[in-house]
Amino acid sequence: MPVSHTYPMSEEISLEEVDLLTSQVLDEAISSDDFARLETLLLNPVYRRRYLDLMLQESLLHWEESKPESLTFEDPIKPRLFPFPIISAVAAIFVAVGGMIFIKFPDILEDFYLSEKEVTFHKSSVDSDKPINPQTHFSASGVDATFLLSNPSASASAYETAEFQAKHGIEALLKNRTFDNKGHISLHPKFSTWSRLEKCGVPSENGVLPLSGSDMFKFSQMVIDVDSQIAEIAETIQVVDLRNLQDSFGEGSATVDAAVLFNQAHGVANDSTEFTLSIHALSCSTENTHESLASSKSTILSDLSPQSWEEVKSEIVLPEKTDFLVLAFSAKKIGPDALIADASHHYADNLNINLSLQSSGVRTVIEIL
Amino acid sequence: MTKEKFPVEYSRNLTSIQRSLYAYILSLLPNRTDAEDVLQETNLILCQKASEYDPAGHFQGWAFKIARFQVMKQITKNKRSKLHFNNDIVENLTTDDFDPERIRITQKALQYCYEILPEHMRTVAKMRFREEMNLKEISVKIKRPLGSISATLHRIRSNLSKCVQNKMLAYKREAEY
Repeated sequence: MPVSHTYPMSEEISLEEVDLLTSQVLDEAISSDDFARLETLLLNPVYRRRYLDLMLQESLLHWEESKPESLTFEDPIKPRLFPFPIISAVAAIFVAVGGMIFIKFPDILEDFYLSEKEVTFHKSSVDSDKPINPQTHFSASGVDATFLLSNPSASASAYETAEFQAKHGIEALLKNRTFDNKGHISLHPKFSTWSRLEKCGVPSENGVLPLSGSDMFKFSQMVIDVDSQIAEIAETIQVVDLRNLQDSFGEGSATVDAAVLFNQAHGVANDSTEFTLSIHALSCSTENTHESLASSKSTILSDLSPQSWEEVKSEIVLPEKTDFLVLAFSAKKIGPDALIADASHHYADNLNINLSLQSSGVRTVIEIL
Repeated sequence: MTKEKFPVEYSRNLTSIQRSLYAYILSLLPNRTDAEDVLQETNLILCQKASEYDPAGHFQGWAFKIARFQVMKQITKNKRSKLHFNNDIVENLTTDDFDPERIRITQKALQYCYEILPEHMRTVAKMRFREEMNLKEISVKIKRPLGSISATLHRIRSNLSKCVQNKMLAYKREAEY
């Protein structure tokens, strides 16, 4: 059992200083003078110990963030509240894929050390009602993910989660990462994917059984807008790096079709939920910007039975310069039921994604998921 | 080590030290993005060096040694652009505090302490730790000055730290009882 540390009063004042300087250094808000002061303090073993305590705490706060609504940790005594997958994912993917990379893709390894790209999204004006939306305009710089908006009038905060996830997934793939703490990365000879499906998987709960296998995807809690009585959540599920396949796109020769089934649990909220599956084709136009080239979405209104799953399909023709494909799910409630949407639970299962390539009259279908 | 043993033993070892490794790297390189990059590089090297590892040796110690070397490399790379600890500090930050048992207990205490944070602190904590927003982004989002966000994060960390200490003392008393 580790021992908690107590300190004499004379050291307490400087411990507070260590706390403050450590917090500043972690937030990249420290001056060079204060950094030098922290270095001096760290020569003392008592302060060094406190610094290490704070660093351990900080690393756990960042590391354990994967549960949607709050931090939940693996508890070896009680049953696990959340099947924490990060560690096993990291090593399993790393070991399984790592060897393959070294042997088969030495250029990836080389790029891994060289790549320093950062990702930002530039504002687009996606008309998401059209099944396929050709080239869109980009009017402003800055971080945005309007390409994920199924309804531009909806509360933007409902889409912030999706924005962060998409941004993170693309960045992980651009950097040729082989593992990531927010999603599973899979490398294939022609494409690579970043996926949150396994990380957000839950076994049967609230009267809903997975449609197949032992897990199903669980949506995060909806963001409720009390004034408009709309509750909504959008989540990026999968990012696919298609840059190696780009030569095969153009003139309608490449299409992606996706299908997924949605369900909602019984709860105090007893109205239907509107589920949407959306697919977005993005290009990597410059060093650090992306633009939405096309998107498609399909929506379904669920029934109230947790026993039945409703299927949604969507298809998109990939424009010539497509670099990345982003798949997102959203769930929405409208009316008085939306006000108690935080007591609702929503699920998805059996996601399939296929890429069809037409070349010289021959159609090749690649199963992405 | 034989090739057959690599997937099982080696991946198990690698899996079990990920939290400790990240905590150790972050303490040497207190910048989350840099620490994550170094964690990746260290993991890659650990995979490359799998055949060199002696199963009778101390895996975590060996991995930490490689991590420290990678941290030094990163520090050299960013020498002119970022603040970094000098070699004496890096050498003196021991690895003893990152043993798996200690991390397990800290995790358990932190879970409890996070849940009892006041609501306004949880909002900021969520933005910083879960959504990985920087101070400027948080400041814009909740319309408060940067200095105020910085102070709130300091209070969050201090509150958590005090609570974790108390909780760990309670666990210790429970164990003794």
